[in-house]
This record gives sequence, structure tokens and C-alpha cells, in this order.
Amino acid sequence: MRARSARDIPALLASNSPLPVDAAVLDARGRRAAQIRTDVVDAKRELGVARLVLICSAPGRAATRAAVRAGADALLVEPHIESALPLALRAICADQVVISAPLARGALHADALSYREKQILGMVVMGFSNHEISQKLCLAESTVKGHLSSAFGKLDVSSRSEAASIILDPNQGVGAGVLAISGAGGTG
Amino acid sequence: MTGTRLRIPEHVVYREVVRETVVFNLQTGAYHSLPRRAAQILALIERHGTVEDSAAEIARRTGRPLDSVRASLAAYCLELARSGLLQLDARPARPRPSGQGSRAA
Repeated sequence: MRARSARDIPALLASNSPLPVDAAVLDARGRRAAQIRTDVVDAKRELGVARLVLICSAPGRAATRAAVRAGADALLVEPHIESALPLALRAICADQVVISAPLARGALHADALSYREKQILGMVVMGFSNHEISQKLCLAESTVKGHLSSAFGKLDVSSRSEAASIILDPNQGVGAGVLAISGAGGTG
Repeated sequence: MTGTRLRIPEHVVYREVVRETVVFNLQTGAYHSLPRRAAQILALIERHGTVEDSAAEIARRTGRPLDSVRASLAAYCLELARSGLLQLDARPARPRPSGQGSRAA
């Protein structure tokens, strides 16, 4: 059975199968971190099942973390989905979490935000404009934009509000710890 | 420390957000959440540069006794300094010429 979105699932189930659902497979290709999180939460709530497999199109680190934190039990990427899916379903039914090798390596990769990107993102989260940031950090506004664009790419977000959301809400993504500058003193 | 120069370090930015003051340390990447009123205190410190002058303005605005305001503000400034959010300069501030208002930081 195929549903176009998580919200369509209950109707689809009601019309097609009276049997309980052990696991669901959700096609999340092309979705971003915040959308994936919503997809997972919606699917689990609407389905009322504990296990969910996500098929993704090579999401970034933030999206992978968001999916797992939201409750996805398996994350699979192309091109080997057909061979991996049966194995993943068996594994998650045995209470395992399955993450394809490229996603797992990416998620565990060391933080790649630069010093400047962390500073700029920190101010973005507080609501400072690019102009204000450029004044404070003695940078050209175009330089601030460049750093911000690079940071957005690394966090797999497309807007300031999305960046703030995943930094301020640890359940959605990376949490404020992503801005910690190594070698610095204590945190507050 | 009432005459000690106070300065908000270059690596500290702050902003009042809804019900709190959020302070971000650009050197450590750490956020600090302070009471909402902290932003007003930090702005006064930026403007006046000393506990004495800042306390005088707070006392004038609120009608509270200057001694009490001065003591509370000094204690709070020490706390901020311990967190690296305020710099204290041991050199005393230059005395104000008589008949003039508060000195800008």
C-alpha cells in the first residue's frame, strides 16, 4: 500500500487492511531535516505503530540525526534499497536501529562548522541581521552572507529560522552544542 | 568597586528576547540566559562604564535608595564578570568634572 503523506495513512489502512501494521516504510526522498522530523512524528502518530523505515535521498548529518531522534528505526538510501529493505525490516522488528553506511559515517563525522560560521550562526539565532553581524565582527556583509550560506549547507537548512530551530531545539537536530568552539573555556 | 571601569567585552553580544536576555559569547560559542532586566543593566553599563553612575541612573529611575541599588548592582556585576560577560578594569574611572552629567563608556 502506498500513501502520499503520513496524514493519508489511516484512511488507506482502513480501506485496505484490517490487520495491525508492524512496520511502515516512508519515502522521504528530497525532504529536508525539519520536514523529515515532521514526517516521522506524523507517521508514527497516525499509524500507531512503533517501527518506521525511512527511504532518503542521502540526507545531511542534521537530517539523519533529526530522523533518528524523531523515532525513525531505519534509514536507507539508494541504490540498494530493495536488497536492504527486507533485512532492515527484520532488524527493526528485533528492536535494532538500522542506518545505511554512508548516513552513519556522515552523522558521526566531526563537526565541520568553522569558527566564523559558529559565531555568525550564534548571532543569527539571536535575531541579529547580516548588517549587525558584519558590524560586530568587522566583516563585509557579503562575507557574512557567504559564511551563512556555507553553514546552512552543512546543517542542511535553507533559512535562518530553520537554522535557529535546529540549534535551539535539541529534539529537532543538532542543539546549541554545535556552536561550541573547541579549546574555549566553560559553557554557560 | 563602585568607581571601577566596567566594559562589555568585544566577544560578548546580548539581546533581550521575549522574557529573557540572551547573551552569546563569541569566543566560546556558549549562550547564557539572563533575566530580562539584565539587558537594561548591560545597556546602562555600556553607557556609563561604572557601577556608581549606572546605579545613580537606576536609583533615579526607580526611586530606590542609591546605597541599596549600588550594592545590588556591584554584586551582579561581579557575577557577570565571573562568567566572562563583563570586564573589570582595576584603574579607577576618571572623576567627572563637577556639574556635568554621566560619562559615556
